[in-house]
Amino acid sequence: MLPEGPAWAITGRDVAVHMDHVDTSSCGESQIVMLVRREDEKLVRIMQIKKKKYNDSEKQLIKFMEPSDVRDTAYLTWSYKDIHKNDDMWIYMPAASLVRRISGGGGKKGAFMRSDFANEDISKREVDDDHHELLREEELYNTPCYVVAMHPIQPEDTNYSRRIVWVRKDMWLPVRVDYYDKSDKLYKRMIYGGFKEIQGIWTSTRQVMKSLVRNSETLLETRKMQYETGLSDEIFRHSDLKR
Amino acid sequence: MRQLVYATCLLVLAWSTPSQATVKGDPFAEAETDAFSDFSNLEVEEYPFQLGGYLEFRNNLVINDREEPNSIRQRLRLESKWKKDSLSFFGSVDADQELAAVKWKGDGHRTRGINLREAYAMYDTDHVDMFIGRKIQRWGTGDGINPMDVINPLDILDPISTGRADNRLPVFMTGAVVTIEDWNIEGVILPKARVSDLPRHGNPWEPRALKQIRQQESQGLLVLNKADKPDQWLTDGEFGGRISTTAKGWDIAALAFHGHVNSPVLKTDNQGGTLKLTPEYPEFTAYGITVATGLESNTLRGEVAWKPDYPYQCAKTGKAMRSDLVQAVLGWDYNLDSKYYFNVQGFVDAYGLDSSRPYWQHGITYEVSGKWADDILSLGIRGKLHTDGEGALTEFFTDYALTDNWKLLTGVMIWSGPQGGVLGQYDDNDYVYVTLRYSF
Repeated sequence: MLPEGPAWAITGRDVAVHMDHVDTSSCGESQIVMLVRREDEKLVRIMQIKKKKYNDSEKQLIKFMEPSDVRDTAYLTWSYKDIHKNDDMWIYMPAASLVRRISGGGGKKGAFMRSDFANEDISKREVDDDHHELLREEELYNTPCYVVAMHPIQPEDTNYSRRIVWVRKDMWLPVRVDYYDKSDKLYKRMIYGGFKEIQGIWTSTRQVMKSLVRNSETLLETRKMQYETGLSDEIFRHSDLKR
Repeated sequence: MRQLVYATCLLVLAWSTPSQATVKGDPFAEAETDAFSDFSNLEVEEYPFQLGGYLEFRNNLVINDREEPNSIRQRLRLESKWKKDSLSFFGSVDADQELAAVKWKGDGHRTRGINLREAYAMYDTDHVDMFIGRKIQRWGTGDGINPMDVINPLDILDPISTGRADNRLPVFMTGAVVTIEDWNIEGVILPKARVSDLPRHGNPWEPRALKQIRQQESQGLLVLNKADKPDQWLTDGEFGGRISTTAKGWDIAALAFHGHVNSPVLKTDNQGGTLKLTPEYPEFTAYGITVATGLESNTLRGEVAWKPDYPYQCAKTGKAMRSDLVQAVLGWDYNLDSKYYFNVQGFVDAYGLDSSRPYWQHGITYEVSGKWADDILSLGIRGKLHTDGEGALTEFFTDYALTDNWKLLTGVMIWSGPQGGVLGQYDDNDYVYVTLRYSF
């Protein structure tokens, strides 16, 4: 039970809504560098990401620069706020000069480029995708945080039974997320950092996803983040996917 | 005084960049952690000019005849890309050495060479994209069977890509895509058609019927003339258009194309008592519709093409004929958590539906595959099965990522069916393949 009082006037959903409103931009682009550390192996993934928001959807274009065998491969996703509406998704495969429609749902649970991130971890999650429960307030890294449990409304669409999210009170960004698998065991942990105010928008530029069931972690750094770059609608069309 | 101004400016600058200062409670603040030290050497700058490609060692060893390999090829592919503002260029070239060619029957097989593949320039604006050059242009939505992928001819030296997909050759063309609200209108013009040659005698992909014709020619029973290829600029040109949109989750496109058939039909001439056969590439027109959609973990795709008065070689009489051809492909695939993949596709070709004796070809393509060991290892089976009795192609495959750069591709390809069948004719070609590829 949460204690009564003004400090608890906020609900878990309120926290999620605040988080959703941090990025006030209409579009943006960045470079993502990912380093997978797994036993003796180090895998590098580098990609460009462009995003644009619409009233009912968000469109995202990911283009790979590394590794070399997938260079210029591009994923285009149209994600809808209506959680009952399927995402539209296409892949451009340069070796075959082919643009191909793929299913938005089937790949969400899979690993993203052999990293510790699942595809769903790097996709935007809508507020309405989860039930939110404010668990407590506590300090993490000497910063006051809300701790919110997020339970998926459509559990069949996700790897996780729930996520526990520590949200910084000062900038409404997550600082830690614990992922629980379907048997409710702690499975992965993501730590957010590298907080920067870019064009007036607080942004986490560094994240580490650690798998707690094996010796593996993935570091992700966002570089060259720019908001409001005036991206045109045309680059988010599957007919425009090319090298 | 000037020094005081500089000092004041520096002070203002120092105060005006608070966002880069350490934020309290930041676990990865640059000054507080070395967790990201490995990133220091991962600087990636986008240069206007990029160079990449791969080095590949391919060994296709025929199961029934170890003395005559299907292919022992080393390939160096170089790809370059240059981009500045709205203008870009892409080019790729292959340096090939085919050691198996010295073992093939017949003569004149090319054992090594440098081949220009794609080379095209693009000019992109918000509403109009234009291109010119040698290019592969794919318009189909199906997997490996695309009735409206009629622009690029089949690579007769290396026709098989996988058990259910083929290899195509680039063609010189120019075209543009115009975007008007939710619609894309695309047009291409090929000043000169490019068509598939006849495979040389002894090439592993020489069709059985062609082998027989060449045998009969060697016995003096007929004459096989040089192919009458469309080789005149502009007069032997091709053109096509496509209009497409995405509505309510469906990709829908209508297409039209006019050009020359990519595979020859043999025109017969019996004047003077000697049968003369001339490979020709007659003109045809095609109209089609393609659709595709994603439904949760499923994808549906379909294509329908109508090719009126289409030229073809009648399998029964051997004569060059024309009749209306209707082709349809309907496919479904299912992706289970990015781990398991299922794909089934049905196809049908109907010749002469308006005649008293229509002729049908039909079958399915399929793939069942999975990923294991952190997605390093892929195993599966894929292929094509003619349900009309023309044979089958089955491929068991394994893809193993040794590292991000090195890939090992192994498997076995098995053709089966009657010797006169579309696929059964390659029954002797069954091979095991081992391919090592280094990407850079």
